[in-house]
Amino acid sequence: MSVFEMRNVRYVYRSQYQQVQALNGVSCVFEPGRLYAVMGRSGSGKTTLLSLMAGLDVPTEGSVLCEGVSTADIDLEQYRRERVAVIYQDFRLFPLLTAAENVMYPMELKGMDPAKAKQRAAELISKVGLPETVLDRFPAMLSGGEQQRVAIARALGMDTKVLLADEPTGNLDSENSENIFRILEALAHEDGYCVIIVTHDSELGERADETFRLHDGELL
Amino acid sequence: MFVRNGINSVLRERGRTTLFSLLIVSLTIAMMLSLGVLLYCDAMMNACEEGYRSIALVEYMGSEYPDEDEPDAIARQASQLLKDEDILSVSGVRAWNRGNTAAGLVEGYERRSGAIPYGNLGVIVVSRVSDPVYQWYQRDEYGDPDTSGDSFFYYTCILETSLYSRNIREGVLIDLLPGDSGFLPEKGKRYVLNGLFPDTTRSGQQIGDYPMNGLTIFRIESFFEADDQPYAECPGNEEIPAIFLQEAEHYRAMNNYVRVVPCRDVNDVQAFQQDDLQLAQGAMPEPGSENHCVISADMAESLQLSVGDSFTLQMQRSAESDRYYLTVTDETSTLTVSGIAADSLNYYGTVWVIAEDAQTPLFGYLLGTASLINSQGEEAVETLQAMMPQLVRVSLLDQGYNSAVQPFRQVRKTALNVLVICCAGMTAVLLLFAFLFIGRQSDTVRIMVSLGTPGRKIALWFLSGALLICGCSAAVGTLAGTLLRPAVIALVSWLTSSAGSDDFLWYSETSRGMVKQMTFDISIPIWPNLAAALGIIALALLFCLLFLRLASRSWLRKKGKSRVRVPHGRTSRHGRGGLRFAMLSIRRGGLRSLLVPLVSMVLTVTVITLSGMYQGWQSELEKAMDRLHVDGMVVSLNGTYYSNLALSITDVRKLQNTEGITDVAVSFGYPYWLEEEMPAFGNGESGRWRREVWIASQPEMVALNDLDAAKDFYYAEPNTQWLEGWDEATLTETLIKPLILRNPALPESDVIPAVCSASFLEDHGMALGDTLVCNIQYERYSGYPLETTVVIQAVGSYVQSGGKAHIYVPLSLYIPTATLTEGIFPEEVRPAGVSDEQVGQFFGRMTFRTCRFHLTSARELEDIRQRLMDQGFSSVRHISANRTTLLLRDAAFLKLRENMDRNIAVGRIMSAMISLLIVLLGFILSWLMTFSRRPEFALMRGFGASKHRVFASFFLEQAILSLVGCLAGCAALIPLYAGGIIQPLTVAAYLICYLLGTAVSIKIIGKTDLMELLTVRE
Repeated sequence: MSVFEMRNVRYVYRSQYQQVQALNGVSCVFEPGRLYAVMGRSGSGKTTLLSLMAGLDVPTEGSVLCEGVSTADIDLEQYRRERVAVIYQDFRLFPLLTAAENVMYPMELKGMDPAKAKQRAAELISKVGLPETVLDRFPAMLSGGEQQRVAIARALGMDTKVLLADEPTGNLDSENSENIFRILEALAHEDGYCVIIVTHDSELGERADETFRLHDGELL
Repeated sequence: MFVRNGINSVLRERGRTTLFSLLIVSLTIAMMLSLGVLLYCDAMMNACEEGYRSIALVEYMGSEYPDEDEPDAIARQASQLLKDEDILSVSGVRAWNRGNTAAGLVEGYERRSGAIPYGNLGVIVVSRVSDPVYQWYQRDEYGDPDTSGDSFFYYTCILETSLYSRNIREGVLIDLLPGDSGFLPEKGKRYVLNGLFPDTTRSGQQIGDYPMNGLTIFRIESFFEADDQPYAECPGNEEIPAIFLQEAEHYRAMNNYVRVVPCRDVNDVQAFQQDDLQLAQGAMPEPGSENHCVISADMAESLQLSVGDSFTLQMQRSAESDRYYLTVTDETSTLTVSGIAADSLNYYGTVWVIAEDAQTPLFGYLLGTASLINSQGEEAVETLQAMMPQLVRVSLLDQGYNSAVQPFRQVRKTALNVLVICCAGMTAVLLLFAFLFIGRQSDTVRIMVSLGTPGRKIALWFLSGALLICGCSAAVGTLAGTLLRPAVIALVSWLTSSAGSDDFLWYSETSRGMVKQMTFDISIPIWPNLAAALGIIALALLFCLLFLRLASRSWLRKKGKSRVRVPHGRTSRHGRGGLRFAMLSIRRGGLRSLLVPLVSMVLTVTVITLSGMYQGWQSELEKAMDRLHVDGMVVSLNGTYYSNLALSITDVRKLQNTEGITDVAVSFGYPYWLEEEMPAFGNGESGRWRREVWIASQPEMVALNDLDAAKDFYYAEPNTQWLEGWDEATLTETLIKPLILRNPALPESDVIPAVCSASFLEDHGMALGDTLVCNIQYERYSGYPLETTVVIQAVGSYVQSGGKAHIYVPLSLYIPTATLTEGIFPEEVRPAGVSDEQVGQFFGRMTFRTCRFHLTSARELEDIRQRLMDQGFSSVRHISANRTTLLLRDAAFLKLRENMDRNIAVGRIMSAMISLLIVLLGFILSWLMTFSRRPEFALMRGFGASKHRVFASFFLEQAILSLVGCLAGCAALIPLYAGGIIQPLTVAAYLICYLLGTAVSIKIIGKTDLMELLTVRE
């Protein structure tokens, strides 16, 4: 049973000078407990696809369905809050919040009590393999790998079935990249998340359960 | 290539380039126009400085002011107290001339007008003297002489030779009155006589109303000083005694005196400065060109003098007590005529000569004239006034300089403010321009450096584009500003001239002097505009270089160690929602969290201080309005005389009934004397005439309803000592039978309360409460003088300001107060059978010598001015329907109000501009604070945080920070809190603007595409 689906999705960018068709009739299905990789060269439409999946925008044509609900039929804010969690390439942590507070942020958005959120944040930090001492540290005090783990913990804190990762290892060395991939893999295979990695790293693509290749906005 | 690419890079940023180009063009235009207006105002003020002349009259305001011939001892004392060096040391005083004038004699000059003091004196030779002709003063019912009354006799003779007389022909028959001389001529003999030709035009029995035959009358009088007989037999002209020849010459010299006005600069003599007199020929002598002079038109005509001619002036010396009792001295000087004044009767026989002050006794009340630097005139007058002895007044006569310059001062100030703001704005725009176009281009710099581009070429790349924009914009702005400048200057010229035309303030003492209307042809050079344009470009270049250096550095730093700021604190569980995030940001924001409160505090302090000053000025003005009292007076049409007026009772009532005018004080005086102090004049015609003259010179018994109307109190604070149980109400409330209802032959025995001068009481061995019998001379409407005695009781004493000890008595000695104010004649003093109508007729034609009044409130000054105008009262030099001329002593009030208004206006402009600036700063600061956090904004939104929550997170943070700053500013300035609502409102306005800026920024960021935001790097 699919948890996430894209049906004949088209997306057109309109600028002052030209009209660019970023996605053209993309259809694909994503199931829970699997790790997917969406691959393609620069300009192939990866980021657009991720944006539509993340609910930052809606397709020009077609539909993006999460757990059977189209993004066109749901409030995008609520969608982003409750349906998908995104892990960004450059971590995107709040610089003035501690690691714990960063993880707590989406939980608090959902109205969770800060005390409970903190406890949960500690669990998630531990789950991504970070020591407890990281909790009170600020992003500026963490290494790139640690920051990405915190970002994953934050995504897990959103308690969604779908995890979107935009070049999650793009800014990391090979050791950290491997660690992050293993975490994501474990999340898919052990915890049942539907993990979708958008990347141009062919090695990651080969290790995914299924790989979608984008070329000029179309799935090959 | 670098230049081309640099320019293309800038031009391709179309939106930003257009925005900055427009900003620079607009600011340059504004700068050019304000600079043009500034230069125009400076040029106009310089032209005014050249075109106008300011002087200060230093006058002693004694009781006989402004009598030019009065030998006032107190005025002389005041004059002696003035130190030339002190006056000259006052900033703004160019020169100082004492008011002493001299008299001289020029051979061949015969005075035709002006004061001719002894014009009726004569020394004549008569022949064929008749027998005495007897006459009686009174006529009987048939018109024949009443031989039972007083009689006199005269002779008829031929005036053979006139050794000295004015306008008397020789060889005519004249009547000869021997007076008290004892002259008993023998028939047919020839005599030389000293005497005078009485003025027979004046009515009155004692003087000239002789029941004689209509011939010219000559009355024998004793010599001025010599005790010789004023007559002598002279068979031939060669046998005339020397004393007669000497006296004839003396009379000629005295009557043909020339008034010599020594001065440093003739232009600064009041007559010329006030345009009462103009130069008809030649030019004013240069200051310092001693013995050069300007002469009156009649002198030039009489002496056949032209410009460039010289003449000899022999000086005469005045007696201490009589300016016109002159003695010729040996001192002579040769003067060269530089200019000839226009024909004016008032200035006949006058020489204005470049010379040191005259070493002569002071007559009159003009102690001196200070020549002033126009622009410092007002301050100099204030300083001079502060150093003057009591009762000395310093008046500024600036020919309207200050009125003319004032609009330019205001416009200049505004232009300067605009220029400063434009400069500040231009600096900010150029800074932002350099920051955005160069400072933010570190990536491009990095690429160029990585490609091995030399630093000089990198600079060329960036500077070419940036300077092209700045240079072109500045050039366009300069061109447009220069082209628009004539129109703006024409507008300013129109505005200032229309502001100047309203400057005449009716009745104001500030509008007393003449106002010179001047037009100037001013041209403003172009070079300041070009210099300003170059300055803009230079500044742009400087900022560009600065940011280029910073951009290069910021990239270079990445190669080495870079410092990352790490916030402090532990994980917090406090708070919820947007507030939680806001509080965490505040606590961990570091410098950012300090900057906002600090700036807010500084701005709050500025706003509070400014509004406090503004409020303070307003409150001071309010207090001044209540504190300062404005009074007014009736004066002569030229504004010089405030006494010896003929103010009708109708006009007094008009004033009394004018809303806003109160305490109308009036006076009328009669000469008084004490019987024992009157010299013996003899009973003859000569004695009577001399007695008349003596009485006319005596101090007055002045009937008034308030001491304000007393000449002694016009310019002095009444410092009156009262006998116990008496006060100033005496003058209004005491009811006395008016003099005109009294029978002079049967003096009333009532005691009149009187306020006497302290020195008078002392001189007469009197104390308060003592009584004294005084003689007074008064007139009925026929002009027929009457004399009677009154008994006065000294109930008050004052310090006299002049040389005469006037006595002040209740008004009812002249007219009952109720009759003056309401036309009701009190029964107590009403003669039997006199009706109200008769009373009205009786007193209706009465006039008053002085009149003063007060304004109920200085606040109503303008309304009262309008009401007086509506009633047709004249202002000094401005005749209206009613020739009664009023003068309001409002200079101090107007000065204060002008200063306050100016401060308030400047404060208003400054407050408005600074508030605007602060609002802009608040907006920009809040914008920068919020805009730099777009990634956080995007992240929040990416996690699905609602717009409200995100808004709350950032807004609350900024609100708390700015509020803390404002509160800190307020707390620091609690002692300066002036009360009222302006200061809190201004702070609230700033706060609102800051938060508005934050809200707008957040909203604008919110409108940006979320995907775009998420790609923004930290």
